Amino acid sequence: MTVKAPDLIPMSLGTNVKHRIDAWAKVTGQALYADDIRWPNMAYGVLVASPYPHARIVKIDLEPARTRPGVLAAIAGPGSVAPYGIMPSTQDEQAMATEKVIYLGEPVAAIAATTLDAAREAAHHILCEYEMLKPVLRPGVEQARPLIDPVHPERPQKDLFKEVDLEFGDTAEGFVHAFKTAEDTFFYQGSAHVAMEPHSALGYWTPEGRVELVTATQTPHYVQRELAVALGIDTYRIRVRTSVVGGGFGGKSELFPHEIATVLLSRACGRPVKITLSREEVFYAHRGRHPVSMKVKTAWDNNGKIQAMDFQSVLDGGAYASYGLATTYYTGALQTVSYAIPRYHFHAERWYTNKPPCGPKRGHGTTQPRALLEVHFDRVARELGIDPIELRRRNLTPPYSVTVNQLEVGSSGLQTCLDKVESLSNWHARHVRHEPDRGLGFACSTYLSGAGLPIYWNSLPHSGVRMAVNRDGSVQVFCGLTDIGQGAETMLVVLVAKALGINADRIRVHTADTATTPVDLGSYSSRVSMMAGNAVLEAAQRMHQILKDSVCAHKGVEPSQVTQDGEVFHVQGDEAVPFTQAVLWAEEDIGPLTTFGSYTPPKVLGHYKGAGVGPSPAYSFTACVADVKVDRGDGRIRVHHLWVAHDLGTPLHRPSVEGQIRGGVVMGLGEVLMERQVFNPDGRHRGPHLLGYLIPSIQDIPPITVAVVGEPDPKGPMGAKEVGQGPLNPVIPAVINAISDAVGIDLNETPVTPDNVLRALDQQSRRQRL
Amino acid sequence: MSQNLVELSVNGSIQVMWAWESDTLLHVLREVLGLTGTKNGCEAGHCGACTVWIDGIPRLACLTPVGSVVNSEITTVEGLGSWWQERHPSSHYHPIQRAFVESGAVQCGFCTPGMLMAAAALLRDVKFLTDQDILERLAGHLCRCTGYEQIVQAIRQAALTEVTEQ
Amino acid sequence: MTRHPRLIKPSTTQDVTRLVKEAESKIFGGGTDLVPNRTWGLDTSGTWVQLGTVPETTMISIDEEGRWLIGAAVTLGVILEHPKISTLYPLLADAIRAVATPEIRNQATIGGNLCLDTRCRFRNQPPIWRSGLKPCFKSGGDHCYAAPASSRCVAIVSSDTAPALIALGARLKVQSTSGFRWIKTLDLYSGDGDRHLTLEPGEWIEAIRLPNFPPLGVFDKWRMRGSIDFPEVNVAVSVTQAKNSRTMRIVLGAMGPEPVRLREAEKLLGEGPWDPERLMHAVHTARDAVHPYDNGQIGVVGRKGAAEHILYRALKKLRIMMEEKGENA
Repeated sequence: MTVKAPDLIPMSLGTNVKHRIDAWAKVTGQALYADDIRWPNMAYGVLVASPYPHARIVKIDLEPARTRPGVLAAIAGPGSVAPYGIMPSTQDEQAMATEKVIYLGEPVAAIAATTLDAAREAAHHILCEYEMLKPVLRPGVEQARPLIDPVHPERPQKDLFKEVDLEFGDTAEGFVHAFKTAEDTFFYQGSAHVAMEPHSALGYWTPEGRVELVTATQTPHYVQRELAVALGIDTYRIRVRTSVVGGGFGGKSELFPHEIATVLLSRACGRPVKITLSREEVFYAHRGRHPVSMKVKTAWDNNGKIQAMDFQSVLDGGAYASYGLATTYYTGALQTVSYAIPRYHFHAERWYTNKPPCGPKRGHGTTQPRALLEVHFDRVARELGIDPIELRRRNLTPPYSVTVNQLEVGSSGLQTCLDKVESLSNWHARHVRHEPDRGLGFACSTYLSGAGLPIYWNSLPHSGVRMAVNRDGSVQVFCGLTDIGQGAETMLVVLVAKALGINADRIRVHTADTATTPVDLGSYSSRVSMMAGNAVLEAAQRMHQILKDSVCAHKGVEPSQVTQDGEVFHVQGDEAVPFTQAVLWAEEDIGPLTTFGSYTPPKVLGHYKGAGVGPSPAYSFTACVADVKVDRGDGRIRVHHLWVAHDLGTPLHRPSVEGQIRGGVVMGLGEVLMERQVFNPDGRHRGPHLLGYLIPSIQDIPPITVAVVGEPDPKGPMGAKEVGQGPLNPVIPAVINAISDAVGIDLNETPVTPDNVLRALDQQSRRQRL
Repeated sequence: MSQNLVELSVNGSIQVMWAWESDTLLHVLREVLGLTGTKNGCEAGHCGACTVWIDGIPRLACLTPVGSVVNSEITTVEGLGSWWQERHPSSHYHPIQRAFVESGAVQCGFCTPGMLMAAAALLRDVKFLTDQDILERLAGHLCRCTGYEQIVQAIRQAALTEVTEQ
Repeated sequence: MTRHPRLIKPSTTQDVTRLVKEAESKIFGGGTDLVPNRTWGLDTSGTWVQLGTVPETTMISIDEEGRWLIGAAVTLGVILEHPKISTLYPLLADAIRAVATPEIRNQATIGGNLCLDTRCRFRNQPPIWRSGLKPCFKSGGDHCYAAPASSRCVAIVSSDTAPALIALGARLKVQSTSGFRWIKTLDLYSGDGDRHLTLEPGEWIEAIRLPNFPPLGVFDKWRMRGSIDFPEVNVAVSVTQAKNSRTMRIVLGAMGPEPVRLREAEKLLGEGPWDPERLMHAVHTARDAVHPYDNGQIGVVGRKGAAEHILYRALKKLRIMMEEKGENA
């Protein structure tokens, strides 16, 4: 970090939006996160959680708690009138467990009191009796040990949540004629989002029978829909707004029990209720990265071109479905987007276990297979005697092509990404360096700019924008998108300022409120810039047309005689018309100025089951080189430098782009070196706190050189593609490949702990002695 | 056992309230005084989000019983601007606040108040900053969004501002 | 269980002694260990006796024989900023700089760090985690989750300053109803992770006395991250060179309930030249001397590896320092 990174991020959009629009509120303490909000007469709620990973509930007695001082309401399950869940086909959650608890930390009751202290104190007086069951802690354990109680005994397939088998082309054929075949296995450990803000929500069941929910969420629209299912009331009665959100990374993208509980407690006590999770509870609410065991087999010709791939993954899903259906498919979807694989077979299973539910985390389901794929390619390159980057280069999926699994790839700067990190890292000089135990490793990756299909099937737009221009000359943008810290609101301002040619300070954005903003599906799958961006551009272009039409009408000229330059309309042979005058004329002509814009992604090409997971309007690409030193004494990995090149089309807002790339890269670094959501043999989390689950501190960051490459994407708003998730993916395999380059050990597991390194080095020296 | 009458000086004004002496300063600031700029990230001293100044020294509000700081002067992120203004009447805002805005050091903003309090103390204490100073003094502040680089840049920038203003 | 402990601020050492004799009372130094333990329900004491208002505990002074005395309630940050201590006792300063974070060092006291409660992956966990688990030895039960065969608690002493002060030969001033006495730093620790200090009810540490001719020494610490974390292992080594002999102190911390002096290694390095073989030999004696359990952040293999690694690194550094001083190593 002490090395000044070269300035490799172009600023191609000329706007005056230098800074994030929410930054001042955040540096002065004015920004209100959910836990900062206090409504009049508000009560404080807490959840009562299961202390066991797997147990039958014998009894829950609320009475002793109800008489404690300050207690307003106490409730126990199920809370929801029907099972709910983010994916319509796998709704398996209740607000509170009723018959069985299936992960440690699962809520079984909730209590509201006049103060937080009183609520916490009273919670101890709720009597819960359990009959403990053996926890299921590994996927598929029930096959080996049929006597063990499954997590979900009521399901016909028991704990097998989903099995997927897809084949494109004749894979067996590819292996028969191969010049070389190779095989690798890998276990990618689960990891948590660890947004700095713990989840928090305020719920109010109003006297009119409506529901107000203010919550730290990435997906207010989905929360509203799920809440309607869970509460059994009409969706229109529910208003969901987001507060300022202190980070998400996928961890706040669906309805959570505490959100339902605030509303139920409010209904029970007549007051608004706030529930804020403790850091411990956040680790149990989870929905983080799935632990995945994987196996890859590939067939190659003598030129180092891949002929066929067989990819298998087994996902440890935890207690509930969450986004797991999508995750399962994602572990096989994007292999073909980076590499032109002519024949491809993919098999995946996701299993329930007695652990906090897994779900989407930055890189959703693509991070784990990417780690194996890139490690595997390096090993194949070594065996074929081809430079690792060169091997990739021979296999890149061409821009504007269709993959074997029917994904339509548009613009691709992957080749440029490769070239960039290759030259920045001085890759080809690596073998003439003579520092022992130091090495370079390479990897590349790809990610979606928004999922092609919504979570629930419909043909409606994925993002809608309503725009108003007031006679005071201000522009209001209403959009359901959610700024979770990534800068989504600033992105809207950038695009509107550019499209209308006006000063950014005229623009105010109103977001993430189901009562006032058109639907945007939410901040997930890196979809916001692509979809809300295109929607807001459409609204802005229509607004521009209205203003221009009025200028023409009032000046009596043809549209061809009017041009715009900044906030001025130039009229051929006449006086210029300021933007503000145009606004007044337009309102005079047609009334209050309002336009709409929306975005619907292109139709999905594939027709097979599962074809809906993987398509995207555009893909981002990333390449990374890691410079790593391995200490043989203590097994510590020291990363000296990371070079990252990312193709995101047009960078819309330079500081946000840089921040997203650096943040993603550092999160990847954490995953490969230290992060692990793991459980003791009794099902207890290894350490549900920030000394037990480590994330990188400022002292753990190497210098990171960031380069933005690529060309404007034809489908992106002003050419933009995603930046929020992609840059995380290549870091993990790049570091593992660098370790291999440094000391010749092939690691097949994350995170790379000192224990694992020492063991591998020990095995290596034993082998060498033999 | 009952609550005590606790008198605190926060951001230059005297606050009197009933509280348990063992209540954390974090709880009192946020829940009693409504100063929610100071964030609760872990309640265990692991993340640095709740850093405030106690008699000018950056400390963690979640580890501080309010009874132990009754005679102290407490400064939170809400009071950082006026602290600066008392010394430099030309601005309502501390240069580090402006620098965080201008350097893109703020993303989700949840670690920001703690970072600001640590950084402002550093700028006050050390006249000619090295990067090493920055890394050492921010070592207890976790940020999940930025990867830290732009935060370091902001502190460098503020250091320059401070030097030129004096 | 009283939910809110009293916070008492005595002004004399006698008052402190009287108060800490009471059942359920605990010394409150800076609170950086006590308060989070309270938040998680690990601390159930009824009274916190805050030392900060007792003059003897808050001063850094020199006694009549010219030895530095550091009051137990002096914060780690203040010690680091002291114009003399850091320069005279770099071993101690390095250990302090390795503690937690700058904010915590601004609050944590030296006495508190010495007495830091032992830690274990099966106890230092938040409330829901612990609520379904039968209590371990340290929580009032009769079982050890980290070492099921053990008849007592194996929680880890996690103080960074303890090994440093042991290697320095520091003495601790222990106050009690019958007056005060001086003990060696190592004698503060009982070896039982549950009641890990040898202090009796009513006994407490008033100050730490540093020797006026400190030995040459090196401190090192191993943790996963560059900051924040407690040690997976730490080490302090020191040497006092006399005409024809040297006296060594080699201390490993955070491997078990008490810091451990590696007597065999001390003997080995007390004589002869420090060639790599002898250093390695000395380092390997740690294998028989310490037996960590899997109750730290990293596993047993990693912690043992880390222990030998930083021990070797510290000894090599010490050798260089001796050479720089013109002493034979």
